[in-house]
Amino acid sequence: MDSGMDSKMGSGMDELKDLFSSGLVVANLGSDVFSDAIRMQDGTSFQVKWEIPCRGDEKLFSALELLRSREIDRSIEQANSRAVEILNESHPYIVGVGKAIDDIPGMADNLILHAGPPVTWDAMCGPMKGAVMGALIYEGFARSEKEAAELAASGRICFEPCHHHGTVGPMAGVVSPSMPVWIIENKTHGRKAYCTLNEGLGKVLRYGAFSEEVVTRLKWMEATLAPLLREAIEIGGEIDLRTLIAQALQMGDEGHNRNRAGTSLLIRELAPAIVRSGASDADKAEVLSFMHSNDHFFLNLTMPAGKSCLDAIAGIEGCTVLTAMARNGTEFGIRVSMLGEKWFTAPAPRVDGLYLGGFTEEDANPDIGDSTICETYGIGGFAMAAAPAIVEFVGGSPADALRFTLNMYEISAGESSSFRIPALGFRGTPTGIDVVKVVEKGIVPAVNTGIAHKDPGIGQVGAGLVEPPMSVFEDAFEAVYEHFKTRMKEEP
Amino acid sequence: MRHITLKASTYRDSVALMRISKKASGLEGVSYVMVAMATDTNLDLLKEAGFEPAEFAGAKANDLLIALELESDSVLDEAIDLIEKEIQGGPAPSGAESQEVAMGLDATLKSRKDINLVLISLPGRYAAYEARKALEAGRHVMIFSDNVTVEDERQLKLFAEKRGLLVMGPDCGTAIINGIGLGFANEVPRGDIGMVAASGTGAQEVSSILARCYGMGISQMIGTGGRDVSREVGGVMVKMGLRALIDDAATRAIVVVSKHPDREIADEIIEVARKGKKPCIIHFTGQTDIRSDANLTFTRTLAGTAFEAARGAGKQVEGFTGFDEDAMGAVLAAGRKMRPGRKYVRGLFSGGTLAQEAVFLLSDGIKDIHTNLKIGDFPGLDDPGESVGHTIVDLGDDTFTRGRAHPMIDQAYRLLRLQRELDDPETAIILLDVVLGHGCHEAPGAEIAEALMTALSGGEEPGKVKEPGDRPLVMASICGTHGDPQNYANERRALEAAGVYVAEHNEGLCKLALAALKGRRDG
Repeated sequence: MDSGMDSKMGSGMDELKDLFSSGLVVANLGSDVFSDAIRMQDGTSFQVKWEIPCRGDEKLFSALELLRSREIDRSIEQANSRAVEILNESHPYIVGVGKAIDDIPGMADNLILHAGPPVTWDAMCGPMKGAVMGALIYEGFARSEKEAAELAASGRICFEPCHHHGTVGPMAGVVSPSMPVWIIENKTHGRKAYCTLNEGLGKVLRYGAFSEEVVTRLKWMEATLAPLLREAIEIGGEIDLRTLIAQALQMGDEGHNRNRAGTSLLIRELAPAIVRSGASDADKAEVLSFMHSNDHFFLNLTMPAGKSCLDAIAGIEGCTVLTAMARNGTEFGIRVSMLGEKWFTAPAPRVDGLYLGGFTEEDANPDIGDSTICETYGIGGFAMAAAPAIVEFVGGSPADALRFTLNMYEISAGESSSFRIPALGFRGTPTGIDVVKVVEKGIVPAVNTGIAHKDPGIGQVGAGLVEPPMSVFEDAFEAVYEHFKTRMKEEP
Repeated sequence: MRHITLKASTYRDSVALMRISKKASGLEGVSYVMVAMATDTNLDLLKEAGFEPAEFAGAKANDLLIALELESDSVLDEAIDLIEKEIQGGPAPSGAESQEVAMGLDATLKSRKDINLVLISLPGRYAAYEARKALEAGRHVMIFSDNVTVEDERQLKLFAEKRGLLVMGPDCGTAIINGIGLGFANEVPRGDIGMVAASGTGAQEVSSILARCYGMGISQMIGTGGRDVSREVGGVMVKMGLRALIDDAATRAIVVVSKHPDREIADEIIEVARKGKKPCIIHFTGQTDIRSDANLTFTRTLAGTAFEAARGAGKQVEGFTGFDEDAMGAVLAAGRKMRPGRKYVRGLFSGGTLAQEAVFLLSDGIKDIHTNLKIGDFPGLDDPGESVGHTIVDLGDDTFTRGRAHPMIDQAYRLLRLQRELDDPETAIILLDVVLGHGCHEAPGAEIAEALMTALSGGEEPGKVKEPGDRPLVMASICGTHGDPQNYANERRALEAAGVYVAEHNEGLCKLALAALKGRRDG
């Protein structure tokens, strides 16, 4: 027995004395007849929502019973608490702007990084292929769509997930060697993470567009935007991202689908240094306008912030908290701390969404992007209650958004000490998705996301909610179970 | 036709606008809708949809743009109205219940630190699972559910004991904590008698009699579930509850009510009580060793337990209440008039402890009582659905409740069985317990009365009309108080109007039955 319990043992009957001397407050689990009876006697009873654990799956429930047996439950609980502690201690900063080939670990000249779990060229979805072709044209490796497609299929180009290189990318998430990248450092744990700069809305590479204007914009970002941002950070100093995200959450952002406040705050941070930089006035104005015109500019910072913190909890023995949720447009995948680098995948689901003028569900690509790192980090869908402006996604009223976030506490290992939600009395956002709780409760993480057109070259067609496939959580859960079963045999 | 409206400097979030677009596109005759901020991206989309730049000349990013393509002019007003209303009104609130959302157990316990007890009535396997979580979270637990394995029960209770937490149950039908009845509980006043009960209806009977007959109240009633006193579980919660009441300043006298415990466990319980010094009335169903020993009093009946408890708490009680001489005389007379072939007692009980007590008390006067209760040397029933000779059945037993609600909630089977016993020419006396209280049937007595009225008047089949004087006597006791939601007085009146002899309590009921049988033999 651990010390926490020993200290309780001495107290003897204190718990019962407390019960007898305070008001009885009941949580009722089961027939509501009993709740009604208690209320009829002017007592207080909260009717608890209860669903059959593991959605009634006997095999999973038997596994759950083992995982919830004292010793194992305790060790999971401790490991998960430690993970939440690490996430809460983590302090991500913007430390600079670099170049993929120079800064991203393991980056190579013939390597293209992409969102989600591993995927081959053949299996890539339309927008992912479009983005890859666009990147090859941008790099000068190909001159046309045809050439780019041939090169991509030739085997001379390698494809690896961003996640394998400390990097995350929204939507297609394609990163090629010359692209400029944000360098984020979780100072507490010395973990770096990388992400490209956000290109804006409309026809953009991350949605699979690769027309000339897309490549031209990427070139401008490389030649003008990135150097100026790099200089501004050198002048103004590193930027505390944890604080910016915390502030943005109190200004109506949730950090995934709404980044208007975060983008504004970032501009405030950067503007004086940009003005003091050596760039031309025209470039300064263009850079400021570019950031201003793009509400999602900040998304490419919330994402690597999350990545730099979540990487710090990878590989903790007995820890069932997710370190990644990511989609490549073909498959949805997750990683679990104690299970290391293994991906658990299933076909990427459809997004239930609202569409931009003229587009319909018919046009939509299945779910894509690394941006679910936000939810894994405890913001995005998990902070929906902080973002009343986008409650349309979750049913239309601020009350729906509250419910949405409250539901996520059910599957989280803890709460954020930095990211707080005004409407919930400044309660910390649900943080650290516990795969055991996901399977136990039958509740999948809430994710809100953008929707890409299924064909390359078109771009964003809408945004909405996506329900991750339960099977990836169940598969990971079974791996957790097998791990503990083996461990029990080894140390009887 | 195409239509464009620009609303200067009107900002709405794009997601809200997408929803409005979606709504408007559902209107008949509307082929294209874009309600959006007039950003360059959106204006590009508009161009692609076939709108001319001239149509939205001068639009700025802060302007709200409404673009429509319509099959005819006639829908324009309707579409614009709808869009304007949506833009102005915002989304309709969906329910006012925002804060009071029902959450799962973990989240509920985390967000409401003041919750101190978790009441569980779930299928057995899940009950143990959730109970463990509640205990881990430092909360007391009451498990109403049965079908929890004895091993789970043992583990839960040992764990709880270490943390000073209660586990009431599994199969704990009733408890009263701080004056609030949990599960099936009678409305009794708060007072200074504390109870520990390893028996549901036993506890209800004692607390109801205390309230109704002696005006005495309960400080706390800790239920433990009947299996607590088994060797496997070791009486963990009975002993813990007892210690808590000994420590509790608001408790003056203590009652322990239990189905028959394991011998060793009984001794341990008695030892704890003895050391406690407070007056303690101990009632193990069926015990015959009736005595007083320092602060301890051992009782044979539930009614006697209530009487001793009232005295122990300092009440000046005149004498043992509940035996109505007139009623005794009446049943004696009625017994004499009965046809010679009628010779057996049939007890149809909804309360297990009440049934047990009936078996023990009736065995003073009659032999060979068959019962589905597994007690003493009493012969069992091959088929609990068929009465044999003198029979006492506990209708709350698993065999009757599988796929059916407990008879304290749903009397359908009891009424069916009542009819069968009435039709049996060998039935002399039918005994019933009518249990009131929170959670119980809303008017069990009245329902029985109605069934009897129908049966005894012959119902639909004239052939079944009984000769006057040739029918079984029906007797009942009501376990309940005047404060119970069912209305005690109405229940009693209804039963009496249907010719039922109503005793004050279960012991009184058994005495009545024995008196009637005596009349049978004398006659």
